[in-house]
Amino acid sequence: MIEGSNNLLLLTPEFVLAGLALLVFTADLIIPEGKKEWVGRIAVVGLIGLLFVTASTVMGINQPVYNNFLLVDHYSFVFKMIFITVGIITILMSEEFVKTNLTSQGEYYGLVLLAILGMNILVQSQEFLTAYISLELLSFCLYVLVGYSKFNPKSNEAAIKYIIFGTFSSAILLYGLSMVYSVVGSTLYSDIAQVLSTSGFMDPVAMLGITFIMIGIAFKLGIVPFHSWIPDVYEGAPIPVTAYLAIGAKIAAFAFLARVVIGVMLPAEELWSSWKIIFAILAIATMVIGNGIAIVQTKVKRMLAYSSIGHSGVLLSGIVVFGSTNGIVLESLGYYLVGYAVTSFAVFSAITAVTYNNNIELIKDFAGLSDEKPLLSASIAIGLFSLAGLPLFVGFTIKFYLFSSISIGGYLWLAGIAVLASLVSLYYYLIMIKSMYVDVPEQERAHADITVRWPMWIVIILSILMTIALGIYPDPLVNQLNEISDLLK
Amino acid sequence: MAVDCEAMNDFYNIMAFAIIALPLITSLGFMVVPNLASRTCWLISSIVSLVTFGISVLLFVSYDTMIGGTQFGFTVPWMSQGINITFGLGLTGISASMVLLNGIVLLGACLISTDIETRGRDFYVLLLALGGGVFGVFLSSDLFFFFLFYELAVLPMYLLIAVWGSSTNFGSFNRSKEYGAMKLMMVLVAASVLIWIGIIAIYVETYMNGTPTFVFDELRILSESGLFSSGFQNWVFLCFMIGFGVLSGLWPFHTWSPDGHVAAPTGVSMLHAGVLMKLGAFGIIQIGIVILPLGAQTWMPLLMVLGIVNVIYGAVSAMSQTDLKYIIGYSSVSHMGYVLIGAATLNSIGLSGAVLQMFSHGIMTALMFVLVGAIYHRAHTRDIYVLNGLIKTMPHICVLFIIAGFASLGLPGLSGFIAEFLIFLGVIKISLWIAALAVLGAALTAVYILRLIARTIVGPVDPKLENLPDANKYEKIVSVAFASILIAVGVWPALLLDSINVGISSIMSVL
Repeated sequence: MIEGSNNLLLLTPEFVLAGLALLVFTADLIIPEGKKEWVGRIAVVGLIGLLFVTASTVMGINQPVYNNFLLVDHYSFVFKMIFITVGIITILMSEEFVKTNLTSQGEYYGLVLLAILGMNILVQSQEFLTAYISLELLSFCLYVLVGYSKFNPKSNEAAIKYIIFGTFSSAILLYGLSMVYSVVGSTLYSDIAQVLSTSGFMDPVAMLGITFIMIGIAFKLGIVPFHSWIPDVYEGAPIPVTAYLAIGAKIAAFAFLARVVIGVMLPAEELWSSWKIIFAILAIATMVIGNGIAIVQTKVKRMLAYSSIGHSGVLLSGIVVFGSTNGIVLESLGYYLVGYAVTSFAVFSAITAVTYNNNIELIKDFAGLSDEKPLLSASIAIGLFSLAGLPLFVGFTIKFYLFSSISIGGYLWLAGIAVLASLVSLYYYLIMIKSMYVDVPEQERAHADITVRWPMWIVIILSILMTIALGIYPDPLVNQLNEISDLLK
Repeated sequence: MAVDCEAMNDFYNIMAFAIIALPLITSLGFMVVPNLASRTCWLISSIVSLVTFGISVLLFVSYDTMIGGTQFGFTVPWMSQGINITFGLGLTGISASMVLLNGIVLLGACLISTDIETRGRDFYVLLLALGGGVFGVFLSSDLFFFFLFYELAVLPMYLLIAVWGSSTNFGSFNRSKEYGAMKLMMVLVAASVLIWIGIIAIYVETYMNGTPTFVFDELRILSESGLFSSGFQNWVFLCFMIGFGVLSGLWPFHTWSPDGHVAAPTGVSMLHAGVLMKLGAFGIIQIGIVILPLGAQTWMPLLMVLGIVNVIYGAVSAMSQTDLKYIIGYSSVSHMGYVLIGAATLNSIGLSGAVLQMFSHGIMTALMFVLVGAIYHRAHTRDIYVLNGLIKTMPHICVLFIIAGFASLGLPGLSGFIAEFLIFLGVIKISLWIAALAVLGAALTAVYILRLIARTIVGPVDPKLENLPDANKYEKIVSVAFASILIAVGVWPALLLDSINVGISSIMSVL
């Protein structure tokens, strides 16, 4: 029926990735105890190879696969590259942590790889069941990863919470999907969009179904009022996993949401005109509550968790103007996500390096860090300044670009609230910076036993450099992202 | 000949770029190179700031007042897709003198920061970033980079104050340096939110018109063609006026300024009171008035009233302070009030006076902070009830302090007189009452400056203060140089006024 519908070659990156994951699990059986970091290194080398495989097989292609179930296009290509890179960085920064803290180290890396597979399929699905299955693949990997620190009660608690909330939201998504299916008779985005866009279509079951689907996705993305799991899970999870949740999983959930909005809602103009008001309200609530509650946090991970909720709100306000601009907003959201990822890695990797072998979790425990580990504290400070949207760093440019495109879409007031939210975020980031640079530590040489190995140095230095480089010279990246904005044209 | 001219232009373009890039690159360089001693960093920073000072003099001297307009300008595409941002630099008559001001003060601030011992490297990383950011603000020729550099100049302030600053104990309560730093940072960034919204609003307006741009010259042409309706101009100009005004210490948003200046280490106080506060006034004059002339006309009465409150309120507050640095901090608020009312006159004399006052106050207040810093460094107190008869122990510092004080109260022959005189002339054309109040402000300045001099400089010598050393050689060099500039500008104001007038006349053509 559709040309190239069974061209499996287009899925080469996914097959290679699945193979790589199996290879890593196998390698875990062969490599002896004590040298398990090599499992992770195999995974890293494989992923770097996969970057080239992906670039050479699917770059510039725009074709549906399996009767429109999947769409291999520039949008999915860009996000695949992002996910693979996020995977590489996560594995590199996990190495020391995993070695020190976790048992059965090899599988950790395999699960990270399988999660990437889930994300990859999620962004290219054009059909809800495929999307659901890939989302579950991603989520199941994350459930295990969150609880990986099995002798740590907090990690267990977080895993239980995450599973309960996660499966609950998946169930809601599935329930909504079944409602929509009962009306439309199909799970393809395009079919649903076609039915929804018939003028005067007001089927309550379908509407409720769409609402449930959106609630399901909002859970995954941590949109207020479905955000309550985030602080607990982020706090309890091993810190590299927290980074992976806050960066990889969030970008994946967002890419999925954007796909659904573009594929299902935008064609139905009447539906979209009411939904975008809901999105705007949720975006404001998310920005206000995320940044507001972050102020009073005393634990670093919880502070970052609420800050990441705030960022979800900013992303959501970008979605509000889908349809009102000719694509600029999608490009700016892509840029925002990349900038957010490198910046967050600068923060999370340095925090991982500081905390991997001790119980530091309070903001005030970071006092004196700048004296003993200047580069680590500089990495955290640069990352936080960038997240707050201060310049030379990518955080300023991504915010300026995103807020400009939101305003072009006619929502200057929403951009104004987003700017205010980033002002609030500056306050609690400064508290953290003050702790590192100004406060006097309670005990001398509190951070003396931190050793940072080369994989971590690579991550930290690369994150800092990218945070600055993408802020000063964004042109190549933005040019790459430019093509994804075609989706909205 | 034409080729020569082009080659020269290229040279100046590179110079204009280098003056921004050099401090920033040095700053990044410090971060990367491990194990740099404080002293080495100081030496490198001083050399770099000497070079930027040289460039700033070169740019100022080469600015051709016969031609006027924007010179040494170039534009390169920066983000070619999407919202289409270009990176451009250019020098106007006003920014020429401001660049010179920053060149002078940055050099001075680097030279006298010899007492930074702890974490010297980090200090210079931030100080140079601040200096580079300020150069960027004055030289950018488009709104995006103007705002980028503006925020860049604010960014290092928190750490500069909170790490290297000093707390003040008032007996009944304590103003900690962390408090001053946090207040300064949050207020300034909050103000920049308004500027940000204004910039985006302007951009959206041009985008809807089909000519999206951030470039000043293009915005000016669009504005002259009537793109911005008066309603739009009114609310956006208000955003700019408050946003930029906060950085200039506009009453009632001025309270961050004394607290911040007092808590900051000397070099940072110099740059902040001397240059950073001028960014706000520069923004109002060079961007607000030029792009939104109708909005300017609507709001100028309000700005003038707030400005005169600044003058009087700042002066009265300064009179009741007992801490040397707080007195100077409030005197800055008062003096910036003159700049604001000068800008609010919207006539060429008043505006020239405002810009000259920006320059003159920049040098003067920087000089005062050098001297107060020197006194504090030796006496470990800034309380004017404790300090007595300093002229016997520190003659050099005190003589220069008196010169700076006289410049501050507007003694003829010093730069402050010319600037304030021009502002009075401009204001008289608008309102006699405001002019009278402005003159009253000058009288109040005389009261607190003379009180300060009478308390601390002359009088009996406190035996505890008898053996304090006088200024060291760097403080001597910097303070004598600054005082000479005050005198030079006072005697020969045309030095600066020529280029300032060119810049002002280009603004007047919009109104």
